Amino acid sequence: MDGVIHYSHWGCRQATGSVDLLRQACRRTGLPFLNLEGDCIDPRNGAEGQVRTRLEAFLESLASRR
Amino acid sequence: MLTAGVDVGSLTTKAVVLEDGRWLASALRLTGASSQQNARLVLDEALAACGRGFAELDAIVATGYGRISVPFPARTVTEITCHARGAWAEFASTRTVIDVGGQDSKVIRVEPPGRVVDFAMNDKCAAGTGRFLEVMARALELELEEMAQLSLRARHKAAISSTCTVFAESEVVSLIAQGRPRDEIVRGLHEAVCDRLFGLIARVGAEPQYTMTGGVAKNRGLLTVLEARLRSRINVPQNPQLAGAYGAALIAWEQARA
Repeated sequence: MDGVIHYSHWGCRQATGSVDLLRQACRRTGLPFLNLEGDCIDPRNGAEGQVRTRLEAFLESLASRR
Repeated sequence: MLTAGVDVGSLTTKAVVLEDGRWLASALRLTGASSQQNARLVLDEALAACGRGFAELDAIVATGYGRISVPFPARTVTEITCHARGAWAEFASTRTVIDVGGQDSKVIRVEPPGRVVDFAMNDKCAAGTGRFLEVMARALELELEEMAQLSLRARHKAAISSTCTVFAESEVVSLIAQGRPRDEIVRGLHEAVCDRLFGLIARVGAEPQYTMTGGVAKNRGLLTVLEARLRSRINVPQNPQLAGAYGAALIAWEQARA
C-alpha cells in the first residue's frame, strides 16, 4: 500500500469524527494520508480546483517516496 | 541548460529563469482577468531581463492555480511541491513551509531534499490569506506596508472573533466606530490570521525550522506575531513571492537533466 485517501462527505459526522483517528493511525505506521473534503450531492459545497491541487500534490509526494 | 518556472497565482503571476539551476532573472505581474496571456508576458519579461529567448528554453514547469491553462507547452506541478522545493533550496534546514498567498494558505512538512511529507490547506474561503489582509487594509484606509509598521508598535490588540473575511470586516468597521486605535485593530487582525495558520501548522505537526513563502511573508508585523506564537524564528527567502516559481524552475532543471 502506497497511501490512504479518505473522503469526507459534507455533513457526514462519521467521516468528520473519525478522520483524525485514521490520520494518527496512518502517521504512526508511516503511511501517507490525505483527507479530501467535498460534497457528492451539492457542487456548491465543493471546490474543484482545491480538490485537484490536493490530490495532485498527494500523488507527487507519493512519487517522490519511490 | 535553460529552464523556467511560471507560477500563475490568484493575484500575481511570477516567472523565474535559471541556467543550470542558477538564478538568472525573474518577473512578476498581476494575474488579472487574462491569466493565460499574462503567463506568457511574464515569462517573456523574465527572459528579456537576462537577454534570452523563449526558443532557448529546455524545459518549463507551470504551477499555481492557473497551471493547467498556460498557453505554452509545460509540465504542471502543484504549488505545494514547488514551494517546498523553492523554500528548501534557500534554507536547507526547513522542515515546515508556511505559504500564504492571495487566495490560499498552506502549511507543508518537508524532508531533505525538499520532499513533501504532508500538507494542510485552507478551505474554500479567504480567511487567513493575503486577500483577508487586503480587504481589512481597505477598510482601515491603510497600505499593506503601513499595516506591518502599525502592528509592530501596537501595545494592545483588539479582539477579532471572526476569521470570515466578510464578518471580520464588519467587526473592523465596528471597532473603528468605537474609536479603537488602528494599530490595535491591525494587531488583532494579524493575530486572527495567525490563529488560522496555527491551526494548519498543528494539523501537519509543527517542526522547526520554519520558512515562510508567498507575498504575505513580506509583512513583518504578521511575521513577528507568528514567531512569538511558534516560539521560533521564521526564515524568509529574499523574494518570498517568487518561491513557487523558483521551485518550479528547479524541478524543470532537475527533470530536464535526468
